[in-house]
Amino acid sequence: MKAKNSLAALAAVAAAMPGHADPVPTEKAISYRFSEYQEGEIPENRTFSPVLERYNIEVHQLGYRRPLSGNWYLRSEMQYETMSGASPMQTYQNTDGQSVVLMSGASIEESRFDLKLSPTRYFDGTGKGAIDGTLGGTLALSTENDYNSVSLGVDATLNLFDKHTTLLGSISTSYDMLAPTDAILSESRQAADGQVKRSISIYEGVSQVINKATVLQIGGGFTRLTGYLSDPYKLEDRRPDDRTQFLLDSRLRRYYKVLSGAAIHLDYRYISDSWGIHSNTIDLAWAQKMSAGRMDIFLTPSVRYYRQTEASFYSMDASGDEMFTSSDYRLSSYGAVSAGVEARFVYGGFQLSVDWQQYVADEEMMLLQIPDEEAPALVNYSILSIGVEYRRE
Amino acid sequence: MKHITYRILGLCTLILMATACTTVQPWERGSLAQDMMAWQADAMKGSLDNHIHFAKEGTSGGGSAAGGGCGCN
Repeated sequence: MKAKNSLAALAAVAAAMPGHADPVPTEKAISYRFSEYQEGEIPENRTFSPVLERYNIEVHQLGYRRPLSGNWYLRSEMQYETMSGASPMQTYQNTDGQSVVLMSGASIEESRFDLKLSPTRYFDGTGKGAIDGTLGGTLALSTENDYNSVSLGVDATLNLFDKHTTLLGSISTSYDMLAPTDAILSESRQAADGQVKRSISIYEGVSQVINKATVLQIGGGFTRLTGYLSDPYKLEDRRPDDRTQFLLDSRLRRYYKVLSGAAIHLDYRYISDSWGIHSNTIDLAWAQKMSAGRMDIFLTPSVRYYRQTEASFYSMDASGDEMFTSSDYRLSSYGAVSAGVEARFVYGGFQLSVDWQQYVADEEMMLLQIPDEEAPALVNYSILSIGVEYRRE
Repeated sequence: MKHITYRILGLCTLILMATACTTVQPWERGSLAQDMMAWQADAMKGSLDNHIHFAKEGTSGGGSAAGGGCGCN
């Protein structure tokens, strides 16, 4: 009887594998997280603007999740953020061949509210021929004074071969509406007023338990955007009204018996789109667990490298006679490195988390195919977050 | 096109590696069930990180279908 109970306990642990063959969650949890996001100043010698400060954003996140009746589980998240600062409007080359950034003069003050609801139905696979997996949906709303977005998604997982393999699939669509502030100030804002942007996105993947310490997920996705895709707040910004993106990604988790347990996280992503941008992203993290009495401490240092090639219509020529043109730094060739560390302290049902990240971008960080033109508007930022969570069965 | 071909070949190699995996019994999955083995241990951190990368980089997405946007500058 004791052996049977032990086996049942081990099976219960196995069933609780986070994200690798989903069990029905039983916990209720409420969480709050505050983040301070601060962008570095624009280089003083590359702008005529007296305002060098870029965005400062304060983000409040509230999360709540709980089981519902009939093997349903609800996850929800609300986010409210307030932004202030200035934003690049145009980057161009002056007569000396030097890149110069034109910033939005007055400081921008705005806020955004975001709500996401995701109910999921779990199928436990008991019984002959019964399905083992999940079926879920997501409704997301985002509203700010000049931009509103609504998106709907459906996702499913199917566990196969005694939960060694999980097939993943999701599809989502979104509908965004633009209403630029002070539309009277520019033709581009007037042109964007009332315009819409639509998207449809599909992702398919497979998660595989390799051995008792390793799990791997690989997948591919497709996203198509149509509608008004230019940025109305930038000068001379004219982009094609459709964009198609293909994506391949993989995620690896491997467990090591170090102290109270540790895991290495290695993620890779490749994206190619119809605007000519190709990007590669590598994420590497080490998640270390330590125990001190009844408290568990999770310390996770991480580093991320991102590089992208420029869009085919990216240009710092402000003459304005091209059909498509943009000097948006996000469409330029550059590389970026971010590093951070997250600490979580778990005591019973309580959790305190602190997270810090620093992000630095530069065209030289392309490492290969470094562009001749500089992109001084590239953003550097830091984020400091603190969060609390209470959970109970 | 050449880049995509290389990447598809790479992914096929990973799939072949995955098919060479061993059988893991339910009672051997304790390590896989550990919190630090999760794809994303803190959902709100993942949500914010993805949102910032969406707003500040030229490409975004992965792990699931993309959601709606924002007017982020």
